[in-house]
Amino acid sequence: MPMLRTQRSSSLYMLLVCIVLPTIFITVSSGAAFNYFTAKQRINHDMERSAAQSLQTLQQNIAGLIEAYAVNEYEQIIATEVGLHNNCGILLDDYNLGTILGKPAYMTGSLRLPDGTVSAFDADLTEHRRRLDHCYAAGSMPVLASDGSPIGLIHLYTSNEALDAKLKAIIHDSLLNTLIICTLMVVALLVLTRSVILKPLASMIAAIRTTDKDGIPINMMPDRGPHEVRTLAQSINTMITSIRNSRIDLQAQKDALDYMAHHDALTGLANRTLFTERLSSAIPRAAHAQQMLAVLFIDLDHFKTINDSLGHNTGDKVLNIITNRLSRVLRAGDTLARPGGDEFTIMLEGLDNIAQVTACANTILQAITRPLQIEQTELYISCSIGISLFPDHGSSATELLMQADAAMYQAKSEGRNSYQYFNTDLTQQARERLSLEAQLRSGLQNGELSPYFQPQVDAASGQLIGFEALARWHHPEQGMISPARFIPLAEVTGLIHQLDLVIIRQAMLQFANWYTRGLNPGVLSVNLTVRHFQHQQFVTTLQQLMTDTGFRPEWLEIEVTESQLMTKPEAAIEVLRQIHQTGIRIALDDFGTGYSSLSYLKRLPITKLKIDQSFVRDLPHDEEDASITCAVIALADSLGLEIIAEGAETAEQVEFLLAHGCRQIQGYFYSRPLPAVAAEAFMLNDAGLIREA
Amino acid sequence: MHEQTGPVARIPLKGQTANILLLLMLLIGLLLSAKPGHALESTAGSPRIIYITSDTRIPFWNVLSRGIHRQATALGYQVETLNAQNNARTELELVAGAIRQQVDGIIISPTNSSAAATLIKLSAKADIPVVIADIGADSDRYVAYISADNRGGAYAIGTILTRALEQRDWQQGRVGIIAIPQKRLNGQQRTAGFMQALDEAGIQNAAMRQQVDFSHDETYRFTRELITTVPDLRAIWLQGSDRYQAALDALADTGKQDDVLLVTFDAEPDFLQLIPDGVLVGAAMQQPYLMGEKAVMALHDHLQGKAVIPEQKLPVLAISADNIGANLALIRRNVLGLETTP
Repeated sequence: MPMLRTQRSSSLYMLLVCIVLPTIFITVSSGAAFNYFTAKQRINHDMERSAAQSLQTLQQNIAGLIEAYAVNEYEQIIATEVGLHNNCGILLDDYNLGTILGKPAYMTGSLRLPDGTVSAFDADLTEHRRRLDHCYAAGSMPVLASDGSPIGLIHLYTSNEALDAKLKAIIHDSLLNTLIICTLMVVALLVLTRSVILKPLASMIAAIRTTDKDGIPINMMPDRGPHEVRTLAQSINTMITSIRNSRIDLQAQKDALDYMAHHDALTGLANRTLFTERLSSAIPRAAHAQQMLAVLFIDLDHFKTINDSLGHNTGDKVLNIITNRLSRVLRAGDTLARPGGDEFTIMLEGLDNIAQVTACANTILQAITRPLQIEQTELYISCSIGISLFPDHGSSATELLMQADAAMYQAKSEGRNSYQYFNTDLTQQARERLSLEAQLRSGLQNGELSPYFQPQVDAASGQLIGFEALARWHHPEQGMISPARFIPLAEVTGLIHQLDLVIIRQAMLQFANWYTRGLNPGVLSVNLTVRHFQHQQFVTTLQQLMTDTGFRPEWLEIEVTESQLMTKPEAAIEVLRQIHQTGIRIALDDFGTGYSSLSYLKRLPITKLKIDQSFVRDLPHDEEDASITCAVIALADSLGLEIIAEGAETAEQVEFLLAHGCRQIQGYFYSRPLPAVAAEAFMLNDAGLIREA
Repeated sequence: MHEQTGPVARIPLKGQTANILLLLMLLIGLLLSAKPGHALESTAGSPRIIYITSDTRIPFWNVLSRGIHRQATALGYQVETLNAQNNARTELELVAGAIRQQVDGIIISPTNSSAAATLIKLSAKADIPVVIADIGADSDRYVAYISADNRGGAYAIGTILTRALEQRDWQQGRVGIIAIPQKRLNGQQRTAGFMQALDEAGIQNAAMRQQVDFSHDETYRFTRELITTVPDLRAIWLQGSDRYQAALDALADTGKQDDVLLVTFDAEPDFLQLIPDGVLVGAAMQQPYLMGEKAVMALHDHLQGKAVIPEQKLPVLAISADNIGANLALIRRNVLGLETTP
């Protein structure tokens, strides 16, 4: 049974004693002190009153005796008064006897000596004089004869012995009372505290100390004692109950988290972690059995397009269907996992030869390429499979997965919907790809990407009508990197969004600069990924960019590719309409390469069609390209749209296009994409274009 | 007031030096004179003694004063008797005067024992020795207190009375007392001795009246009250002798002179006749003359540096018709002071 560690500290018992005892002592002592001073004042007052009364009485008793010259009698009365009332001394100046003796007064009296005896006063004795000087107080009263004449003066010296004795008695009583009261109260308090508070608390402590392996009390707290202690016990019981319930919930959550940590939430398949664990476990088994082990890395082709166009719900349904299909084609002992996104991994154990792997890969390809029925929509999807083998391609789970991943990319690059076994070259490509992605990210941060401007020219007049801004990456070490390398990578990694915004901002700044300087660069065309048009706030982003750069909407033309636009046309149409309403032109890029619906085309707020360079490249000799080009020009004409052709490299192509009604041309015939300085120079020299055309 | 001129007195010096000087002077006196007994006769420069009496009108003090004068003169002292007239103030004034005169000694018969204490105190302050003659003193700072054996005398006269009552078979009757103030010690002692005698004889005391002003009327009134208020009254005891006539008058006026016996304390010259005649059953007679002599002797011894018995009780003569003849000479000298010639 685990014992609670108790820190050494003073007990509640002693704490109460330390608090209560001084409190009681101070309180009672204060009361006693107050009583003492009150009593002292009272005794003083009583003494003064008693002295006054004594003087009065003496005066009355002695007056007649003085008149009668009964000296001994009044001396005895004085001695008796001193003895009875414990006075310090009484003196009398007898004027009558003084007259007889030839002195102002006959002084007589008695005083109490230190030993308590009463002695007749002798004025010649210094001791007697000193004794009177040390008396507590003195009072005098004249003694009057029956006719009112003064016949003497009586002096009463009050002793402080009575006062001291009474005060000592009060102090003694007060101390005794204080001691008794303190003792009784402390004893009562401690007894009550022990029986009422400490015992229930001790029971609770004992109950708390009896715990299970997790340190949670086994028994409930005893519900007894005063209200506060019972409330505490009830609170602890509630807490124990809550802890027990929480522990159950926690275990369930832990189990759920453990499941989630090892499984894919969507498909219920093992995730990367669990797959890696199982793969790590399988490798030694395979090594021990001297059998082959294969890792298949499956990536669905263009699955992103499904997600973007049909939504994630549809994408999820696709993933579940694929999961079912994969599960059905695998053996019971094989492991299927979904490490993330549109990727699946499969571990095939107990293989004797590579043919079994190839067969499995083909079966998977066939299973996935079968049409998918999602609600009313039929979808087609394929996959790319990378395969690594143990022991040929690696001896660890990480190694095998990495090799399979590299092989999968190879399969992608070779046209998708195929499988590819790992080889050493694949590893190098994968490394380069990862390196390039990292460099692109840092390049965007460091401003290594900038727009190049390719002129768009009115071939009929030879005038510059604008520039298309194209992203160019000037790597600090590798020099210029081809857009063919980093644009697809940017699209795959999602960096295209950031890339678009970087390029358009710089291009806008440059155009605003030109216009400010009185130049006329015409219209700025920029390519934007369709991702932007799937978010309503993009319009605001554009407006903010123009505000920040001093750019005007009428200077801008946004190009969006037909194939991207058609993946989710409804959402894009709304955003494009808003953009169009701001005065921004919209051109449909690469027109003719996709499957544009004419109805959508009609609804799109586009102002221009851009004939894809693939149709221009073989003009005018390729009849199909010529027919398509003419058809597109006619379509644009019929829809009232502007038409521009890109990729014109020869004078023949320019002449063909011009002859068939396409005046706006872009291509190497006029200029390659130019940096800003060269573009500015081109702008200033655009008069020469007419001659060349 | 008597002023005596005595022989040259010996200078009362204290201690051995004084004794030696006195002895030398005596030897010189013996050499110069063949009459050493008269050597103390002197006038100016003699030591002085003052006798302060409460009231010289009372015969007792007068007799006592004569005893003092005779003995002081005999010893060579100048002596003066001063009358306090039974007044405390006067008494104090007299003592104060004696102190101022720096007399060599004072003999006092105080007005009461309490006043005596003050007188002794004042005198002691002035280093003047005091001898108390009768009455007593509420102090012990005197040289000597010369008194009569009041209790013994009272007891003796009480015994004479009880015998007289028994002889008359009147022991069933009761006895009234007309007392001097019981505040006085001598009064208390007299009452006690007398009551003891009555008690031993089985005779009851009827009532007591206490004298205040010692007047004839007072004693007469008290006597009549006793006679009238106590039907079985068979005797009256007067604690003083000076107002015996008032008691006799009351008895005569009430016709009880044959039914009520009368005894007294102290004596008057007439008693030498009244007792034998049976008018008075008897009297307890103090010896004031002797008391005066003893007082002077005590003072003298003190001045001579001799040891003095501080309390001296003189016997009281219980005289009845049966023994008056045998004690007549003693009575005349020591009680009545009749045969003394300074």
